[in-house]
Amino acid sequence: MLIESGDAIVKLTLAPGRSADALADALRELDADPGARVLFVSGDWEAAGAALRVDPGDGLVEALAALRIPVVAWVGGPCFDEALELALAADMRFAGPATAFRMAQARAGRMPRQGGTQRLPRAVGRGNAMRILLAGDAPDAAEAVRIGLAHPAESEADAERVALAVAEAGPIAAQYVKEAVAASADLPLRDGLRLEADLSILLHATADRAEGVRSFIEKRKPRFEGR
Amino acid sequence: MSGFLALRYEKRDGVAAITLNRPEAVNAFNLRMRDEFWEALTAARDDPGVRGLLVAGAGERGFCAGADLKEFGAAPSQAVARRARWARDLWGELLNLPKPTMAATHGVCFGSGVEIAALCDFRIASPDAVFALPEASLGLIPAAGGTQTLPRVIGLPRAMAAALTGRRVSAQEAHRIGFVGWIAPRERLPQEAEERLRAIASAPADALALVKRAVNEGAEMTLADGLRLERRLAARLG
Repeated sequence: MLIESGDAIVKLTLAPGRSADALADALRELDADPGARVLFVSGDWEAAGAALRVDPGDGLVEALAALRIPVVAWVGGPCFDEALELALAADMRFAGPATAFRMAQARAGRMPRQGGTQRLPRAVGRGNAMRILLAGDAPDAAEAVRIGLAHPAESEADAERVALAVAEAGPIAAQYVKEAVAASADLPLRDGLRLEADLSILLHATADRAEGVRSFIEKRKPRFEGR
Repeated sequence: MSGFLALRYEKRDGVAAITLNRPEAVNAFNLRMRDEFWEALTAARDDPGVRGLLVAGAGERGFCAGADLKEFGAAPSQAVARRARWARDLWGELLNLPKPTMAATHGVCFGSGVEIAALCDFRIASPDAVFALPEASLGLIPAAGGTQTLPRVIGLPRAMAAALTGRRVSAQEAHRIGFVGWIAPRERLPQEAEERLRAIASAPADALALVKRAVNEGAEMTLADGLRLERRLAARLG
C-alpha cells in the first residue's frame, strides 16, 4: 500500500525503491476513491526525483496534478530538479528549516521535462523562475516563502495540521475551489469567471452547501457528507 | 444620488465613493446591496465628473463580512441563479470600470469582501484589517470572481492556499504579498484612500482608462496580441 488512508486525510510518504509508475498508479486509484478528501504528501522527495530520473514513466507528475482532491505537500528536506517538478503539482507546498529547492537541470546540459518550465513560472512569476531555471538559484524555505513557491511550516506536524483543516471544508467545495483556482492559470479571465460561476451554482444542488449555510446560521460546526 | 439603503453613494471633488452600509451586519453583501451596487457603479461609470471610484465599508467592525448567507443561502433554482448572475454582470463591470478603482479595507474583510477588493485596481488597508476566504469551510466557493482575480493579484500558490484553507491574513502580510498597496492608520484610512485615489486620478483620464484596459485585456492574450493591442490603444492618445 503506497497510499495510507486515515480518517480525514490520505497520506503518501515518498521513499526510495518506489517506481514512478507504481506511484502514478496509486494516485489514479486514489482519484477513483469517492471518500478521499485531502492527500498529504511527505517523505523523501529526492527519492521520488531519482525515480523520475531513472524512468520518467507514465505520468506520475500529471497524475498528481490531475487529482480532484486538494494536495498538501510537506517538503522537509532537499527537493531538487525532478523532485521539485513533482512538488509543483501539489496545491500547497510547506517548507521548513531543512528545506532546499533547486531546478537547475540546465546547468548540467539537461532540461526539465516534468512540467518545470511551465509550472514554475506560473507559481513564482517569470523573473523568479528564470533565476531558478537558468542561473541555478536554490531557494531555502525563507526565499521560497518570499517568492510564493512555498508556505512556511515549522515541522511536518505543522503542515499536516493544515491538511487536516482543509479536510474539514466541504469536500465538493474544496475540489471545486481547486479546480477553479487551478484553471485560472489556463483560462482567459472571462472563461475562468464562467467556470467559477457554474461551479458555484452547481453546488446549490449539494446537501453540503445547505448544511454549511445552516451551520453558519446556527453557529455550529458543519457536518459534511460529500454529497 | 438618494434612495439607497444598503450603501451610500457620494461624489466629492472628482471621486465617487460607494460605502457598503449595513454596519449592523458588518456590511454583509445582500440582494439589495447587489442591486444598489449596480446602480451606483453604472452611475459612476457614466458620470464624466467621476474620475475614480472608492469602495469602502461603513462602521467600526469591518469592510465586508461576505455574502449574507441568510439571503444567498436560500437560492432560487440553479437555472434562475445562473441567469441572474449574468443578467447584470456586476463583478465584470467593477473589474472593467474605465476609471481607477480603490478599495479602502478595515477590520473584517471576508469572502466577497476580499473578492470586491480584488476586483479593484488598488487596495489600501488599516492595520486592523483581516482577510480570509471561508467559503469552502461552509460548503461554498468564492463566487464574486475570487478564484480568478486572486491568483492574478497574489499568484497561484498563495491564492490556492487562501481559498483552500480559509486562513486569516493580516494587513501586514497582505501588504507583504502585494494584495494591499498601502497601510494607513485606522483613523486616517478614509482620508488617505481618497487622497491617494484623487492623486492617481489626476492624470489624464483617457490615458488611465487605456492603460488599465491594455493591462487587463493584454494579460489574457498571447504576448504578440497584447503588444498589438497596446500599439492600437496607444495610437488613440496620439
